[in-house]
Amino acid sequence: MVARVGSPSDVVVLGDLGSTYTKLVAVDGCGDLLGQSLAPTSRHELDSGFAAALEQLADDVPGVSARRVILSSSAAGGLRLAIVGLEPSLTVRFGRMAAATAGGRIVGAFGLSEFETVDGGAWDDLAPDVVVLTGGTDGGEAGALPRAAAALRALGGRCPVVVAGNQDAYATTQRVLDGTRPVRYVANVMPRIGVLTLDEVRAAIRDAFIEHVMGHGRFASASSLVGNVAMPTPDAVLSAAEQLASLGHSEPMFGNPVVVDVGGATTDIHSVLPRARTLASGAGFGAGPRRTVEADLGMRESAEGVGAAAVDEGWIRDLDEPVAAALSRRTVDRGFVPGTPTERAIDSWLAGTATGLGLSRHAGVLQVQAGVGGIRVVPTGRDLRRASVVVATGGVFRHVDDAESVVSEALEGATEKGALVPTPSTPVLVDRSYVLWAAGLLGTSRPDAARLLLKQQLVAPSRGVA
Amino acid sequence: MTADGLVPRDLPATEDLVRRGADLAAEVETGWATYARNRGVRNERQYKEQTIETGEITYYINLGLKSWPETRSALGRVLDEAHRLDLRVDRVSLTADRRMGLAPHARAAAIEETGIMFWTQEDWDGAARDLDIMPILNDHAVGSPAGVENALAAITAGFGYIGNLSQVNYGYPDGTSDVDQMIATVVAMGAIAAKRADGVVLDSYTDDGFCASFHDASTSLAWCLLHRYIADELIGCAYAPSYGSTFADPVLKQAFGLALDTINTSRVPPSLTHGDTNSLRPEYSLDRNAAIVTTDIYFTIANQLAHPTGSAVHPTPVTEPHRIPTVEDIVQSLELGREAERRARDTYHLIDWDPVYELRDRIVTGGRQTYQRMMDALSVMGVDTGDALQLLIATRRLGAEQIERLFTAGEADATYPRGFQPVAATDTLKRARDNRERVLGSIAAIDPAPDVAGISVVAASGDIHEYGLYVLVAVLEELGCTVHNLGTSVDNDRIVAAAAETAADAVALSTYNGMALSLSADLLRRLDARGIHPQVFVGGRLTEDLEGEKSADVRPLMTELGAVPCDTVEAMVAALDSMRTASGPIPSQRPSADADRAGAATPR
Repeated sequence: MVARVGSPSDVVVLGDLGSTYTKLVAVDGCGDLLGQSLAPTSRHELDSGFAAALEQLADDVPGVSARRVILSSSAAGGLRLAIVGLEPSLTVRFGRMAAATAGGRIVGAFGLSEFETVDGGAWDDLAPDVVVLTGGTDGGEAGALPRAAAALRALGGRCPVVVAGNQDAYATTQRVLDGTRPVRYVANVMPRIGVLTLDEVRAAIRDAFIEHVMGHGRFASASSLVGNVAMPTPDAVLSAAEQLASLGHSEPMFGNPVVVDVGGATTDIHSVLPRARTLASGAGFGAGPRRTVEADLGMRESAEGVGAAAVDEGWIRDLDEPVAAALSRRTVDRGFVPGTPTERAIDSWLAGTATGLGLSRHAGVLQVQAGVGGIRVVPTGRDLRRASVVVATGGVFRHVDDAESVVSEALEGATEKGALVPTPSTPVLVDRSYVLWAAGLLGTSRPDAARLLLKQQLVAPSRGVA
Repeated sequence: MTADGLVPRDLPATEDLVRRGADLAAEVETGWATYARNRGVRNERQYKEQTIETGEITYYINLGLKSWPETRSALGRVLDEAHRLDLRVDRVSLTADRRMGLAPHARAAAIEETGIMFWTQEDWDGAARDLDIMPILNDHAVGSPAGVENALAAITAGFGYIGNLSQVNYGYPDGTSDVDQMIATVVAMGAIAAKRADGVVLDSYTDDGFCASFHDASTSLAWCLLHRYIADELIGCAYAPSYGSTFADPVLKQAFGLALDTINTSRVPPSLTHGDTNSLRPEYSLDRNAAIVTTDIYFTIANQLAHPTGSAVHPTPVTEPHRIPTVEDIVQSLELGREAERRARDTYHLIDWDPVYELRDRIVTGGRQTYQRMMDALSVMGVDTGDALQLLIATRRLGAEQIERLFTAGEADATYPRGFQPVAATDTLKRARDNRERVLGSIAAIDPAPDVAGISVVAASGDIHEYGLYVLVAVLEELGCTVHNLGTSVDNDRIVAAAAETAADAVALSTYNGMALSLSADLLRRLDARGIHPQVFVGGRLTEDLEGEKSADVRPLMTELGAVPCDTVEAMVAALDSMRTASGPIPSQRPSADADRAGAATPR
């Protein structure tokens, strides 16, 4: 196969809006990184922030133009999702897993009978931006979706809905929901027992976000840039993980990547497992891409959350007073820059602990159950032990000393806790040029260039490479 | 969160158990068997090492009558006849009564089974010294609750190869807990390790244990890697795995033997290569069985000539499926062996071993992967992988099927019963697949064909038994049913949730645990509570202990509850078909608990 690669003169600008900095990356059609820029931006000054960043970039890179820009939005981290399914152990669970990959936060997940008893006040408190309705395998239970739709209609509101259940029930569901709100009908998240399909749900949530949520309500913005947003930034990072996995054919090291994205407010873990492996064969849904967001783990806003979780989840016995004070300082001052070796060490510890905790929560454990039939071992959740590489991204990993060791030590800690995380000897790559999200964004239109960008930028300077 | 239940807390320290075994061994002298004495060697291991140099083929037989005197008399006749006909026989596995696995004081009162009983040390000594044949102890010794007593008695008498580590998964009717049984095993291994310098070897006939139920020879190799690690590296035994009775395919059989040789880092000669037993059938003529035996042993001998390891060979008596072989049957098997050996010596150089090497390499690579995964996972589950006792208990509790499903090196493939395509399919798996073909054939022959297409069925096994489910799912899918296969060890809650999501017309549950009635009642109750009423079919062993009757046939009671008991897959298909015939295109649903029971469908 001949790789389709664009021309080098073909300059594309990729941007991330909606966080404290507007970030821009310029690449050519071959995936070569041409330049990067950064401009502080408040939510109400998206346009000026973008203009400043673009100007900087244009100074370094000839050919940069505002007309060839693809954007992602970090604001989507605040996207609130609710899931309604039929059986908690099946479609509710599968709906959650699918929605979790889409770049938002799951604020509620209900089995049908529970959902039918939710009152309006509680629903208003959840305030979901998008609701996912599922229930029934294809050809199976057809009454669940219309009932869920009727209950949703009774609760009122106009938030967009993604319907991803038994497709036989779509016509009746449509009659219930028609005219009440925007609705997208996509493939069933669980077409058969134990089979998870998430691509369509994920895309539909992304589209609903861009069309109906961005620019409205909490996400209101006067900026016309919003129209150029192709996807939420976390979704772009997961797409980059998938691009990496597709490199696995030629470079086995990338085949089953795990991406750790430690930000100021959240820690996101993305993993792509092979579609047909056997450890989770009993479960059937262990394969494919997956993302989890830990809203209490981060370097700044959520620094205290890392300290609390480390104690709660048994990583440390308790928090020393000076460390607790250092974490509080970060929680209050989001722009905090560590100036002393001690403060840098605390950032290292935060990054490693957030990584370890995030991975432990993302991965499953082998659970031993005793019953009538004897001892049974159930691999619950995802088994990442055969991950081929761990990629660390997020500002902190560009700044801490020996980021690779920080990650490896986190893997060791999580392994000792019994989590099915990548083994401590898994190679670690650090996204030092911070282009992972950009590669994911680029991949939507130019997958070959995106893969080249990833390959070129993810060189491991200290591990696995002589 | 993870380790609870797999290994109990407060186990005794393995090193103390091994030391206890060594202390006990220090109190006994290693005996000198007549066979070894006559050949000018101290022990059988030494003689085996010589045969690797000389290219001799040694022969093995199984024999075990009720007592040593009876067995001695029969063995004497075998040796006389062999001598008269110029046949070679070197060693005998004295197949023991299961009572030998019980503590000595409990044996007399236990139920008699077939096989030999050693009642006194004189019996043990006689077995090693009365005749010019090397005895080996393969059954109910190491691995059983009586492992320590039996190992010490055998060492004292002069037995060289003492087994059978593979029998650690056996259960004994004296209520010994698995923990106590494994403690006895570790102490016995400690005693055998202490006599390593005297040539005492820990034997492990792998086809007696989990390996017989593995679907992949690479899982079997992983199992041997685990036992080698436990026995040799952790405890210090000379460990010798052997195999053969469940192997029908000659390429696989020889490749597995070479794979075992590859991992034999301590160069301990294996005990034997057992003849193919599972291929012999009572319905076959003796001539047909003879053809199977001769081909099998021809390749085994050729392999020994090309790649000598010191393993003895075993021509299976052709009458084995019919009766416990007589002296004449055994002598005749030795004749088949001798004739095969003559031809093998002339022709073994003609064999192209490359396909065998290629398969061996795959088995070794896959086996190492599986072994590594198993050790990693055990460690994740909180098992101390440097502790022999913990490893033995944990792996026994996991069971063969789970070990294979969890740690296989094979690729996922739903058309196989365990959901993966083996690196090297065992004959056990091939038989499961053959059985599926046979049932499919018998269903296809039914005229008029059963009309069950479009019926939606949730199928599950409530325990670890998988073959019934495997065949059922294949047949129902072939007939056009929509089958939702939940797999093995499924609890009733999962069945109910799946039936609700799929709006299933029927649930098919397989159970072999002797709890068929309770399980069916619980399932029906949960379905009713959920407000769904699929027809419930239950197959497997439909028994349960009732008041006044052990293992009672509970099929009539199940029918009364509203479940449909099915003796065979064919019977379930017929019942499904009659449901549909009775009620038009959509099969009748089971009435709910409060509806009139008289309407419940009953099997024909």
